[in-house]
This record gives sequence, C-alpha cells and structure tokens, in this order.
Amino acid sequence: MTVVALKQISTARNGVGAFILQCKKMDFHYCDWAGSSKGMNGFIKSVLPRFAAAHPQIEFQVSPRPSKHPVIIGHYINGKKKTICVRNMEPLQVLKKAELLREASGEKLKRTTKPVTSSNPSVRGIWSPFHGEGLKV
Amino acid sequence: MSRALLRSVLELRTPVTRLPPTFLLPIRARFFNQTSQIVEPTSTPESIVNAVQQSQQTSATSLPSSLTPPQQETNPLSPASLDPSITTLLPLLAAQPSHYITVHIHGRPYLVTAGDQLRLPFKMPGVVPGDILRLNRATTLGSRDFTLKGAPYVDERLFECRAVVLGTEAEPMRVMVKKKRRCRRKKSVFSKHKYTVLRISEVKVARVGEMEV
Amino acid sequence: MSYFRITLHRSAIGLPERTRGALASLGLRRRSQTVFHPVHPQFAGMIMKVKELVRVEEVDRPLSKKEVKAERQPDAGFYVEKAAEGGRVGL
Repeated sequence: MTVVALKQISTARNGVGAFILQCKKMDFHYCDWAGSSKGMNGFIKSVLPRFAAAHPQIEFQVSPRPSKHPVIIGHYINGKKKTICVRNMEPLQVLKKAELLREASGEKLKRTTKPVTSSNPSVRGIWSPFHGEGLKV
Repeated sequence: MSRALLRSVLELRTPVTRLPPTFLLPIRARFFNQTSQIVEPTSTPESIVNAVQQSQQTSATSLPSSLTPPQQETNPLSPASLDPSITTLLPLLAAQPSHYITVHIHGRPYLVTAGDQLRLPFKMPGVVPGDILRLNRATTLGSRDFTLKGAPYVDERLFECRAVVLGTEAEPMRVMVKKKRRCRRKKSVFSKHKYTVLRISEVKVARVGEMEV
Repeated sequence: MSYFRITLHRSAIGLPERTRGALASLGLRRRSQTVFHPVHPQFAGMIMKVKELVRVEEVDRPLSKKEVKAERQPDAGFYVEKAAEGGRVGL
C-alpha cells in the first residue's frame, strides 16, 4: 500500500481566527531641498511619529532621496509593493495616502460584480433529479 | 541656518493651521457620536424617545450611531417567550455541520457562510483594518435541511455573526469618454470607487437554553 | 390635536390646473413626498380634490423632515464590537 498525501490543503483565510495586516513595511522617501517635498517633510516631522506608534505591526523606514519627488512605498505580505508619489501634497493629504497603503491588500485592483467570494462548499448541496421524492408526471 | 529653522517651523505649523476644529474631523466621529447619543434624549421629548424605542425595527439608526453597540433590552429571552417551533427545531438546525446566513447591511442582503470574503459596495467610514463587526440583522439562517426565516428579521439573539474588517479595496480606474455626434470634442470622465472588504469570521447559532441576553 | 399625513403617490402630470393647484397648496411637489397638515375641513377638502393621487393617514403629531427620512432608511445592520488596537491616528 502506497502512502498517499492528504489532498486537502488548508487555505489561509485572513481574519478567520487571527487577523494579520497585509502591509508589512512602509518606506518614506523625501528630499531636503525640493519644494515638492515640503508637505512630506512636515508629515515626517509632525504626523509620522504618531502614525508609526499606532501601527506596531508595520516596519517604517524613512530615507532621503535627493533631487526626486517624495514617494511612499508599501510592501505587502504577498510580495508586491505599491508606490505613491506625494509631490506637492499637504501633510494631511500624505496621511491619507499612507492610510490608503495601510488598508490595501497588496493585490492588483480588480473589478468584481459579486460581493461575496466563498471557498466553502455549498451548504444546501447540489440538487439532483435522482434523489428525493421525484416529480410525478 | 535661520532660513532652515524658519522653514521647519512653518512645516510644523502647516497641519495645525490648515486643520478645521477637532470636532469637525472625521477621525473623531466616534467621540462625536457618543456625545450626541447622550445629548439626544434630553433634547427630544419623552414621547418621541418612547416611540423610537418601540419601533426599533422601523426607525433607522444613522451610521454614526450604528458604530456603537445598541442598548440591549434587559429582559432575558426565555425559551417560553419563543415560538415553539423555534425551540424544537433550532437545536436540529444548530446540530447540522455548516450554516449560511443572509445578513442585511444598510438594507442590502448578503448570503454568507463562515470564512467568506464580503466586499461591500461602499467604503465604510470610521473603521480600520482589524475591527470586529457584529452583524445583527439577518433574514434567513439555514443549514442543509432547515431554514429559519425572519419576519422580516430573525431575532438577533438567535445567532452570532461576526466579521473582521480586512481593509479597503479599489476598482481599476473607470474612464468614460463623453462624445457628441458630429463634434470632435471628447471629454474623459474618471472615477474610482473604494470598497470595504470584510471576512465573515463566525456564524454561530445560539442554543435555546443558554441564549445570550 | 391630530394631523393628516399626506403622501403623494401618483404624479399629477396631465391633470387639470385646479387639481395641480390643490397639490401645490398642500405643499406636494414630487412623488412620495410627505407633508403634515392639521385635521381641518379646509385640508380635508383639498385632499378630497386629489384623493386619487395621495395616501392619507391620521397621526397624532407631525414628524420633521429628518424623522420621515429616518423612517424610510433601513437599519445599518452592524456595529463595531471590538475596535482594533492602534490604527487610528489622533490629530
């Protein structure tokens, strides 16, 4: 008798049992000199400490990128990353963008028509004409 | 040196000066609601409050107040107060392995089972990823062979349905080209909606004996 | 004191000017709009004029526009049971 591996592999469903935020790391790049980084610099000085303190599960990295527009890069558990350029934005607008990256799942944006996505088998089963009482003709 | 100092001061001041007063900010919505809830009963006449409490199902709670748990009635639901068919058949429904439930969120029905992902057609304000929502309006609750139908809603003490906020998703940018005949002018209109994504973490049928209050 | 709760159910398009005038004086401009008027022969006559278009109930007190809207809106159907730790940045 051969050894047969189990066919059913458990699929990870975030939120059933434990919830893990999909965003694992955020990079903030700024430029000291350029005017387009003005809002970003204000954000890093005044808002980022509180934002980082509120998210202990995310790794934050702040690094200069001279002569470039400021960007925020979010890294996700599925290996993807999202980049947002925040040039000429106010600190509060930058905060909005940071929140957007935090709440994203890292997946590519898709258009869906059905609200419910289920991986469970049907609760009521599939109707069969050969079972039950049958139709009287 | 002095210019750099001035600039840093200006940058620090920007969020403070551009901000509306704190009570207008959306992030303080939770705080704002709680105060309004306390204020409401005193400002409205008693007859209105009573009427609202009596017609709890018909009177719609606005979203802010929905974020806080409703005040539950103190009288426990004894098996005697239930319909006899519920007391006899609900244990059979609960004993079956898997359940489905049709929950209503803002009046729209979603048929879900535990573990499903639910992408709401709107962005829910005031929630962040990781929040646990309790869904308390359901029209049907079923298993393979039994279905409990509500009229119009199932008693919210008969089931426990919880969902976790996973985050916010967006759709790809929509582009609609506006063009009139025999006119070369074209205009593109862009739109991109955001959706809150939930995961149904739990669907539990209550036992008639130990029903929660 | 009791009030008529009058809801315009059918449109007045194509009806004579005097019927439309009765609706206008009741304060009904669009379908499914609700107005409240005290129970009085004057309003009863106007309602009789447009009785095929409106639905009338007698209520104890007039509701405000907000309350009428709240009646129509469905329940939210959820509440936050447990808020996530962190995540909210106070300003």
